[in-house]
Amino acid sequence: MKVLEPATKTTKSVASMQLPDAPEFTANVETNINGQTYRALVENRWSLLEFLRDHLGLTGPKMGCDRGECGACTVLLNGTPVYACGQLAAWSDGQEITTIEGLARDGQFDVIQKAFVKHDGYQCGFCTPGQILASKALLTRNPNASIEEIKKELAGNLCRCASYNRIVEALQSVQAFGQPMTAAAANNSGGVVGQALPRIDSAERVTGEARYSADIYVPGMLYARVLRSPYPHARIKSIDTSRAEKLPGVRAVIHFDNAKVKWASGDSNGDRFIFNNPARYVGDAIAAVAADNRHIAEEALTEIDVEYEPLEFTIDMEKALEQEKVLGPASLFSRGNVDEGFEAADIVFEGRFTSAHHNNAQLEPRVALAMWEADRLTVWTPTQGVANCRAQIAKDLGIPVSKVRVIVKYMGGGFGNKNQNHDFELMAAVMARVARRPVRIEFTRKEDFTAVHGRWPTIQYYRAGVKQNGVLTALTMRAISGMGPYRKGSGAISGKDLYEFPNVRTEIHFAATNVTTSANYRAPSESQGVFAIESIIDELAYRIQMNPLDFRLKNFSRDADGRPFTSCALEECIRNGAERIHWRAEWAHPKTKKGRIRHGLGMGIGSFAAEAGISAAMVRVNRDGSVQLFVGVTDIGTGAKTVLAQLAAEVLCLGLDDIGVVSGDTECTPYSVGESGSRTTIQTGGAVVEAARDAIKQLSALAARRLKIPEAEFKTGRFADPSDPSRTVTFAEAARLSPVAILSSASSGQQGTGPVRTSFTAQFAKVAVDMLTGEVKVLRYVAVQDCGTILNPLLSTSQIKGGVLQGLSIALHEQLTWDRLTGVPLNAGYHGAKIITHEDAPQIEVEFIEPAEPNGPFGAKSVGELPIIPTVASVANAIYNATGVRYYSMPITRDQIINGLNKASEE
Amino acid sequence: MKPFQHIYARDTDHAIELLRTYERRAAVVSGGSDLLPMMKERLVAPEIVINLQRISGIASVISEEWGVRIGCMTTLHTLESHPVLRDRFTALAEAAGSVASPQIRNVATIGGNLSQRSRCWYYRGPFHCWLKGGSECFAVNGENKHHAIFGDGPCYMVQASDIATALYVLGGQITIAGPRGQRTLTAERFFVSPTAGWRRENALEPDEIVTEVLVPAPLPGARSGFMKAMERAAWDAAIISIAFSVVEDGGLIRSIALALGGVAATPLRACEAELELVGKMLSPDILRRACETLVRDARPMSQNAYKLQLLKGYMQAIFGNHSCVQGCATV
Repeated sequence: MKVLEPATKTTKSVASMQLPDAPEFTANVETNINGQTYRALVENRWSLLEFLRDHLGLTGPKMGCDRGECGACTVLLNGTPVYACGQLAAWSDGQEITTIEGLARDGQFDVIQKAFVKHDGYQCGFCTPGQILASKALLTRNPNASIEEIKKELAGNLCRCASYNRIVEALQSVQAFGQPMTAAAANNSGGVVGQALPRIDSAERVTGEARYSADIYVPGMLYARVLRSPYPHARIKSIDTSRAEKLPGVRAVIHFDNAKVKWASGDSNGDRFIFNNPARYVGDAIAAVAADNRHIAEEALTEIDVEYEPLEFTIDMEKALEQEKVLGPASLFSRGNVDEGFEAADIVFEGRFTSAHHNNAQLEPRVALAMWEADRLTVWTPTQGVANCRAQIAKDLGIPVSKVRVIVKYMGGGFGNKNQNHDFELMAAVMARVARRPVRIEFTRKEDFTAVHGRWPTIQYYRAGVKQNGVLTALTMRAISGMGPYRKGSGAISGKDLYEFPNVRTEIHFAATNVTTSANYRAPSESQGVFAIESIIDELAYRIQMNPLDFRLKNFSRDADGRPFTSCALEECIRNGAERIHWRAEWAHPKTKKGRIRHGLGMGIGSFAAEAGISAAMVRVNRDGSVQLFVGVTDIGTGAKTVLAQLAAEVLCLGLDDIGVVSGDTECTPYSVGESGSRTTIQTGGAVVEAARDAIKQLSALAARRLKIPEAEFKTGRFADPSDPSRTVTFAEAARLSPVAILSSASSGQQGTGPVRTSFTAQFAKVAVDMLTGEVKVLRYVAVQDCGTILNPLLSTSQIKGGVLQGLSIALHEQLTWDRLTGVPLNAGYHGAKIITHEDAPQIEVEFIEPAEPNGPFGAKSVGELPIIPTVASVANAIYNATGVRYYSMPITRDQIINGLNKASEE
Repeated sequence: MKPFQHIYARDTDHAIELLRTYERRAAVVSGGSDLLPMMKERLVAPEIVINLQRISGIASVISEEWGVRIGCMTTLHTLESHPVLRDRFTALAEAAGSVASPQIRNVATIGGNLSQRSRCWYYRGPFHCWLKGGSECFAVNGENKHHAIFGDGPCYMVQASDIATALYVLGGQITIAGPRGQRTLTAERFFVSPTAGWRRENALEPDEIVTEVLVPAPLPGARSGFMKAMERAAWDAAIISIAFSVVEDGGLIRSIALALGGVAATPLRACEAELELVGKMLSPDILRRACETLVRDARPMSQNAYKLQLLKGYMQAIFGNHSCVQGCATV
């Protein structure tokens, strides 16, 4: 790698700006925090949040946006919930502040913390300290708050994992019982798998003790910020960083000229570096500065002079295609003969669907801390796969994999945008090298929205043919996926395989646009594709006057493009859900609807086959019988650590508490493909089971020797003599027989041929549409899934609820808007994106059908991405059923609804 | 943020003296929920921040015989939960309760809310727009679905303060203090459409602050309210809003005040629609005509014509909920 050698620092001249610790820029404060008095000299410009976190070590309150738009930094100020980012540190003088760290008393959790644990009130846990404190203030002031009041008072705390239902349940249980309801007692005879057990790291998450990447501080750490292009497409003619370098406290400045490092995973065409010339979108990285604190780093950015030559740019997908600006050849597929298919059709539908770009919007913003020790690099970064991240960092920097260590113990969500390595990790590594100090690079929330990636927007043109008797005959799709300027995602559009179209032809073009890159966000090709397909299926049903439920039952795919499913309970899911929502009794044609508030029923189905991949696991049985499970996963909120521990516990016949999980550290955890593609439980879980079985085998051999028999039998947690079962050796005794700890490891992967292991969902929405105001309320939502064996119903239910609620948010609200004349993003941030709040979240009713699934572990199938697949379509179809107006653009925002209702009433 | 000096004002006179001393180098902070994000975004960079939080006596709601006197530092939370305001000045309580999120309402003040700068995404973005002193309003040929449907520019922002809209129907008055003395303006005079000579959203000079809001007692029998259309269920700016105060007697509208928010650079009194309704028995036809009058002078931009329908729809919704005109709201 070409990197600037550490510069010899000449004497710096004092900058024209006064030194920040001059007395008039500081204040003395004496504050009571969590019952303790703190005296400090603070800079006037410090927020209370950074004072608490960076200077007092109270990292419970989280930085989610630093703009008062998310709630993750909620603390209690004299008992009142406020955003710590919206308070200056100086204002804390004479005040009483409570952070999450102050809630537990004498080692005893507050009843709300206990309730959050028991009711799974979180997934990634990043918003949790804020949620708990806001809840505490609410129930203190209004112990009998109604559910509406609870939602209103917590509306200022966003949860992207959308654990809204769970949080409400937790608080209601505190109200009902004064104590959280005890979880169903663990069924000791039935083992651990299948039990609704709380997450194993719940204590850390509800106390603020969980250390996320931005909670890691190392001595000498510098703070880094990135300078970004103000133009959507511009050549950098020159960069002058001399003024920035002279600023007191600036330790490294890197940019396109002195840090040419490839970022291979940023573009499958291999066309991307950590700094690029030309810059290709507003937000493209131009330079980065590391300084003693983030304020100096921010200031230094304004001291960098860049001469840009603006170039022509395109932000419109169709224009890009016309100009042949594409990022690879079109993807083509065909089956059968569509022309014949359309000939045979009685009804042909034609339509154009669009979907907007929206951001993953996980609560934890981008951050990475890089530290060199001699030639060894450690990077703390919230990545969904430490092993891949490490390998890619090593490759991009041109150093051996063995010299790189990637660590993440807790992360605040990702939903697909924290896979592989990232440019900012490389930037941090380079700056750490130059400055010879550890460097933490931080993104603002706006940067997180614009400078990473979101779901690819699409324009999809369809033709679909059906016979009057309900048989589908043909489907063509011509579509454009807007990939941004770099090919980081596949751009695929899924959905057609959900239904039996005998004749199909599809064509997808990948437009290069000068806007934020598009890549993976939870079911990256499905949500927008299924929105279209399920709307079409719905429309065809209406056109042949068949009930949409019956039409779907008739036509859903019974196999995966010719290959059988390993197991499939989709039909049962559909029937179960239809019954729960009273479809037969309540469904009525839109033309029968009258009045101002109209109800509608809509549905959609989805399927997800976990991606292939190999993962490994290691079990270590210590000599005292305690067990550690080493897995490379990072648990982005899915509960992977817990489920994997359950699998180990099940095989080893131990309780969940007996398994210590070591995760997310490439120094000691084996390879995991990473938490993406809904495959952790299957891949890593499979390896965990194998490793645990092997550990049993080793222990069994030791026990057999002790019992002086050829082979021992492992039953109910003990090793027994098969011929005389009263002679046993306990698990712990067997472990002690080994001179060293028992180690076992295994890896597992999915083959590509044969039956396809697929999960299924059937979702039903009941909406109320206000015909005057265009307001849409989801009155009921039922989601029935076939995910094989549910290893932990508490966690899996949370995942389904969360995925559906995310789906509602992207269905009705979220889109990143760029100014057409300048390519500047206009609404990057939580307020602009309109992520749903507590008040928007209806209760999602979840059911699992568990068919016999031959593959392991224990018959489990994917869960994670499945729930967000048909949600947009279900809501869109319900709106159609209520109003008779079909919407072809997602998100279906208020202005769209109004315009559609207007148009319909004119016709 | 750049480094800055931070001074607690002892009282409002001291605050004004500091403003006069530092001229345009200073900014006033009340709750901070608008100033701090603007400073972090580097839209403003005051060298001196004058803090009003330690001034006593300006953060309460005082009932007088003529109405209520509200100190500028009264929080939105106090406004939304105050029994007198909820009962007799409902539009104000509802408007305050609809702003942002609970945490923000806990610190945001009425003075700050009324003084807030435009939330137009061009103004808040890296654009040297007309309001900032440039020559062009970028919403005109750009993304304008959130912008004004009334008025001819040159600025097409919408006034973001919901409390402003409520004050229009309650006859609220706003007291301003500065180095040149004190003055009390009606809400209608406090809020102004930016002009070439006055590129600001309100009548405040840069060295003046809002000190008090005065709201006269409502007419006997008057009911007021505030309806706000939002994208998500909470924590959102008004797509449009309607504040109303009405005295109604068995279906006969004895008096009515209507104000529209989210549709122009200032809240708008819908005087002509009021004339259609006052003295009349509410009926579907009368209501429908009033709705048409409401939007008759609208000049929507390329993306915001839907706001017209929203105004009409919410008008119907408000008066359709009225107990004596149940069923008047037609579809």
